[in-house]
Amino acid sequence: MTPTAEQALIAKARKGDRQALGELLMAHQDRLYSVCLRMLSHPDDAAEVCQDVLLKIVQGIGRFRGESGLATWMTRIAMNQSISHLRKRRLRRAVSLDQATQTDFQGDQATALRHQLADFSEPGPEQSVQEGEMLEKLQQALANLDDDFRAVLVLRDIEQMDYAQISQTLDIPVGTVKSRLFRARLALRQEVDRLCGKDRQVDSIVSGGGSGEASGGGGNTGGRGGGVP
Amino acid sequence: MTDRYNQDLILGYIEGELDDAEREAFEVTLAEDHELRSLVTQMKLDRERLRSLGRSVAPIGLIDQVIQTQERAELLGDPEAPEPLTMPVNPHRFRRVLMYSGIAAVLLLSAAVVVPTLMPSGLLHHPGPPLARSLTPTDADGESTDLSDSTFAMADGEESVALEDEAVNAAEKDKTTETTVATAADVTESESTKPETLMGSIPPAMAKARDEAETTDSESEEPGHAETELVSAEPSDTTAIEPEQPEADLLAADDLPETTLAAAKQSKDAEAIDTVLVDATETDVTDKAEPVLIADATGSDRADETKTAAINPFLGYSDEDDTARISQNTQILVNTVSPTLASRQIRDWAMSNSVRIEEEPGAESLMSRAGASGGAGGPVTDSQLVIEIKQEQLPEFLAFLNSNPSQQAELVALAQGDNANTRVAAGEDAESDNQPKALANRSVTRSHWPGTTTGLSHAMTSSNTPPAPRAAQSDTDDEADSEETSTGSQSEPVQPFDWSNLLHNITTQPLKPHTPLLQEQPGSRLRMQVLIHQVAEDEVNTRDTTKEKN
Repeated sequence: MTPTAEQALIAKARKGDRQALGELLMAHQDRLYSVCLRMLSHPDDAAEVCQDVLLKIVQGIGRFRGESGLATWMTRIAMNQSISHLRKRRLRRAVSLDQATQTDFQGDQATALRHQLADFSEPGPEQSVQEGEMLEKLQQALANLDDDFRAVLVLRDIEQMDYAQISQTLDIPVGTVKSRLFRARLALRQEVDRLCGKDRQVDSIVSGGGSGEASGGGGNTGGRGGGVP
Repeated sequence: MTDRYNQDLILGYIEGELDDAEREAFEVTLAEDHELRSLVTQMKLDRERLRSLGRSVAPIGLIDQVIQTQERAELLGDPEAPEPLTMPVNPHRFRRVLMYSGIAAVLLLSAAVVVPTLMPSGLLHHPGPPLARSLTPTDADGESTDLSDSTFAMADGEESVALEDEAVNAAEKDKTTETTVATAADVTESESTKPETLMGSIPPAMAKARDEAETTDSESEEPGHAETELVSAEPSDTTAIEPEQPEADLLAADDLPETTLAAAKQSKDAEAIDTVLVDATETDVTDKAEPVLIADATGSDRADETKTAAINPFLGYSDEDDTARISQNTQILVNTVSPTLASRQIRDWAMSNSVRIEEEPGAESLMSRAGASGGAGGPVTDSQLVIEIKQEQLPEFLAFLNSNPSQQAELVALAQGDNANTRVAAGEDAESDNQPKALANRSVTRSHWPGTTTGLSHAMTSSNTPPAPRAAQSDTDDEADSEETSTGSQSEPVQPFDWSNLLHNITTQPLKPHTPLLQEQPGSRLRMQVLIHQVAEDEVNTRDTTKEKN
């Protein structure tokens, strides 16, 4: 969808055109669901939260002022809903997220793996198996990360947003986005190593220098291994 | 070691945001530090792996569920429901429409119920033109307005006649108890201009109200008032109308030209009361300038009930009762040597002129009732016909009746309207002295168009100029008036009526705006009685001789 067409649909949707709003939702529902799924790591929860996100969009389309992009605005709603849902889930569930996320991610990971395998240019069987295992560990590590780290990684790597969009979506400064992104990648790497049985003190390597926001973003990385402070 | 690496450089390198110089410089650093190189390489791979995950496909029907959820919330009125995307529908609009519709329905139903109840049945059943009109006498120029004021009364041919009691009783054969209410014009207001009374219909409810008003007015009347007097059994016994005497008849003839209605109340002495004109000026009806003529007769057996009924002179109205009553007020008296021949001639004329005519037994002459036409002794009606004649045919019919030298015809109508002068026919004054009973308890204001009848012709002695309207006079006017009338009728020679002048007046006289019959109902038909009386031949000859002399 071209930006011009999207602006036209937005204008119509703001005037109450249900059809235009439906077209916008159809164009963005996969991305919104994907965000919810990467954030929640559970398809059913993702679908439920995504439905709430769409309702929020329907409800608030009249108040959309266009200061940011529609995608950014929708993603922000989805991210906030997802984080809110995660917080409620943590309070609701006493059980650990490990098994659930592992179980949930197993199916989704298999699907993602199939997609990746289809795109790979004839990888060898061993390589495919290793890559598959790495993807599984990577997604598991992503699920184990802190919400802020996971959010910035999802927005940056999965949604492929730039720093400005991430800054608008998460409502944080761009510098914070960069610092949080670096720390999120470091935490993810540490978590993957932990999952792989490697215990590497990466924080000592990358510490020092950089922006003052390097230690921001919540402090803990959320990694089960707890390597990155 | 940590001091050797910068986060921004590492992140920039991973994200590929470093320019070539920075990248080459950082790669030199990486080459020198194996651990850092391994870490950055792994992080870069993680980034690539995350980007390779791609987007997941949303479940099918997600948007449909959203729409259903929204619609359900709207229908349930969930306050948290999202605002409708389309133009909102004002829920109060439908409520207002329902409310207004309900109010309108209630009003219509109420009107459908109330209006027929309030409206008199006569008005509902007779959607014809209004019968009563308010007339303003315009007699300043001396022209007769009585012709238009009263149904058939000439302006100067109006007299106040006291009807003979016995004649009235004889006339009411059917014992129909109808009170003739002669509403005396309001004594206090009699001097002022009053709307003239015309023939018209009045609802019974109005008539009843009128009676009540009359009773009230009568209570306030003073005895011996010149304008409203009671004719009692004794000629000199003129008493005021009192509430204790509701059965006393009223004489409703005023000197005022506005005298319109005569009201009479039921009398215990009389079995029936003649038709009278009821002045509606005292009622609400007259307040609405709707004078009407009411002919009512109430029998003595219904002393407490005063019934008034409307008279409808036009056959356009279907009320048979109304059309029948007009025959009591408008009559054509035919004095002829041969009633049989006259009746046959009238029938022939009716046949030739497409005039409906029928024989009506039991009719009674007004004149005979008054004792004015047939001489002393009262009525001798040999033949009675009811004719329905058009207004414009009336002069022709009267001319036809008088074309026969052996008979004379006259048109008699009860007075109506303010100018319904009541006069006594010639010879009646003298006869009335001999018939005190004739005036007892009867007071009828009457106008007539005399034909060539000698006895009545003095009222039409004026020549070609139309006579000026005269104020109605009562039979029981003060003595001065009575004497004047009597003296005038006795001293002046009886002159035959100038029939041609009457015809001329009828046909050529410009109609006044208040002329009710001729103006408003030019094509209406009148139903009236033709009463044929047998008279002696010499009497007719005498009249003819007088006529020839004139």
